[in-house]
Amino acid sequence: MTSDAMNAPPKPAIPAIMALRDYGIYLALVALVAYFSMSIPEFRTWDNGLLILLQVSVIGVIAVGMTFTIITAGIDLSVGSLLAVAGIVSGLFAQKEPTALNMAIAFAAPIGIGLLGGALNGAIIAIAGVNPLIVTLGTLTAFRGFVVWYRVNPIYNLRSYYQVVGQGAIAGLPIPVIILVAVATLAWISLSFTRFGRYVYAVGGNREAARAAGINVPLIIFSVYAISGLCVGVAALIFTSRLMAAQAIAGQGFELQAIAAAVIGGASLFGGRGSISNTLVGAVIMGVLFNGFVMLDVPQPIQQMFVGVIIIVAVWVDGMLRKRRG
Amino acid sequence: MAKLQSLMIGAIGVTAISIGSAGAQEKASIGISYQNLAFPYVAALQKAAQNACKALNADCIEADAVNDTNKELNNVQSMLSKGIKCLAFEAASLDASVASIQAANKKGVPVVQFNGKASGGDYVTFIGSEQSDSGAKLGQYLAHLYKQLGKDKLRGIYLRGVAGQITDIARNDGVKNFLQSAGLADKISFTEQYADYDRGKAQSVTESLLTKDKNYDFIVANNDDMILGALQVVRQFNLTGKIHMSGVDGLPEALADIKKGDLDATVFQDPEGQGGGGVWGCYLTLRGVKLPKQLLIPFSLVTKDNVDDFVAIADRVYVK
Repeated sequence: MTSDAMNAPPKPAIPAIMALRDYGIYLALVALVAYFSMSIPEFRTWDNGLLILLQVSVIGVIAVGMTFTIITAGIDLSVGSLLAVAGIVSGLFAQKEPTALNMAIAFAAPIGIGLLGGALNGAIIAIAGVNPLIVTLGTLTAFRGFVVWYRVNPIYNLRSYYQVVGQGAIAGLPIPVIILVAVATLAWISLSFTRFGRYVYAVGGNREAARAAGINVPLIIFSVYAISGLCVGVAALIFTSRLMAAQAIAGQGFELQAIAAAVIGGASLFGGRGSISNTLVGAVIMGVLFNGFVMLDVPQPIQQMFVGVIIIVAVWVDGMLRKRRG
Repeated sequence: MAKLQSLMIGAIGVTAISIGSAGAQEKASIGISYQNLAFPYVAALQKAAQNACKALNADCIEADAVNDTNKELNNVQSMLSKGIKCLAFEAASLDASVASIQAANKKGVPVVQFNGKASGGDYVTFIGSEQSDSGAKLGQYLAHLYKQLGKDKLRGIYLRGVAGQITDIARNDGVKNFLQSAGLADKISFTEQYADYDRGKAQSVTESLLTKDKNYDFIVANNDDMILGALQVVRQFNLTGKIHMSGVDGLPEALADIKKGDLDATVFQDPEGQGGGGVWGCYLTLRGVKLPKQLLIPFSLVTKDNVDDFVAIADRVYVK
């Protein structure tokens, strides 16, 4: 997958450890699900399984986009604020007379705004060459400032058609879950099977080498932030439709949850490493913890503590397994 | 509210007389410092304060601390150097906001605190509400519900705000103390979960709790945003009317849902009395009126019976 995978041939005893490294997170998920299933009868139902995926859908879609930026050794801190901007605009149109045009804008505008916001991040980072942490910290503040100035009070009384995205289902599957799977599949294909995907890993693994190999590095950098913004737009639509209300304060802290999902999934903040499937598992682990803990009446501060510990343990174990390999 | 109004009307009378006798006076110059205008409630305070400035023909300068006490102090200092004659101050923090009040004290500029009060510094008056009173009103709602449903015991969900935050603790104490004194502490039980005053989080928490057990009698929340998030779930699970619900704040959206009958109640917190009160307090102080150290604005329980009285206030201040 990455450059170190090429220059370090596996030794005989290694396959087991490698499997643990790549699939340890799946084991962790299975263990959590088993624990909660034994403790809570209502946890191990089909409905609750779908509920967990539904609850994960917003952060999951954002985390998919975040994975792209992290693989290039970047980060996108602006996702929560951008979600609020996209949600407010979508809500404004979802509140209007349900003409074909208004309906189309209500659904399309958040995605367009997400893409635009992401492209803005990407342009500043790629062209001006400013550190992504700084740029997206800036847009985190700027987007939030804009949306609070523009509309501080919640937008409600959205027309009933609008709830189809967040609350509808096809063949028993909630639409947000279908969207999450579709977005993740597209992302997985583009990262694993296309030239673009290989370039993304190459830029994150070794930028100089990528440049020397003739890759248009600024274009790749620009693209990953545009993709992240696009994902935020999709998530904003799901989020607003699920709540049937749009708020300027929506999405606060989503950046940390999305980053946590990717990092639990083994993505490296130093770039070159990360995968969509593992990020999804990371998001689902957090969703399972939330749902199971709430059902067990565990207070939220303890939940937060637990998630923090899991993030650290995941990165620590991952690092240890890697060192041993080298 | 009524008490404050009558007091102010009385004071206006006094003022009118003193103005009459003093002849032409210069315009009152008032600085207003808000905690964080990203909260709809604080934005409503601002609207009420601006309306009061207009009504009193006062020169008002405004500043937003954005929940940052450093910024708050800088704002206050720059307003002081612009020559404000009185500071209407909504403290962003109990202890760390004292510095801003002391800065005004040093310049001899009187301070009127509204909504949030800091723990120190000299001030003329505090115009705000006792947060435990809002919890007591929520408890009052539950006691009423207990009678109305006629069951031996009630079980419900209590959505709390931010763990450890002052308002959340005060509201929780208010609810529990009221039920204790009403002899209902062992009749009404809660499943409690923090949802950070956040609508989305309250939605997820309620989804998980109702998936485990749909037989709750009620859901109450420490603000309206959370109860509105929970209401989405109750609607989706087709439990409207079966689960009784109440929040705190009196957002226009909650008032509309009370009218519709989807929410039972909310506890109205009065932005007009608080935000307008801050400006009024300054105005009267500058006109030489002596105000009591504390002007408490009571909370009111809003139900379908009296909701129309509050819609008018909400429409005036929850704009934009």
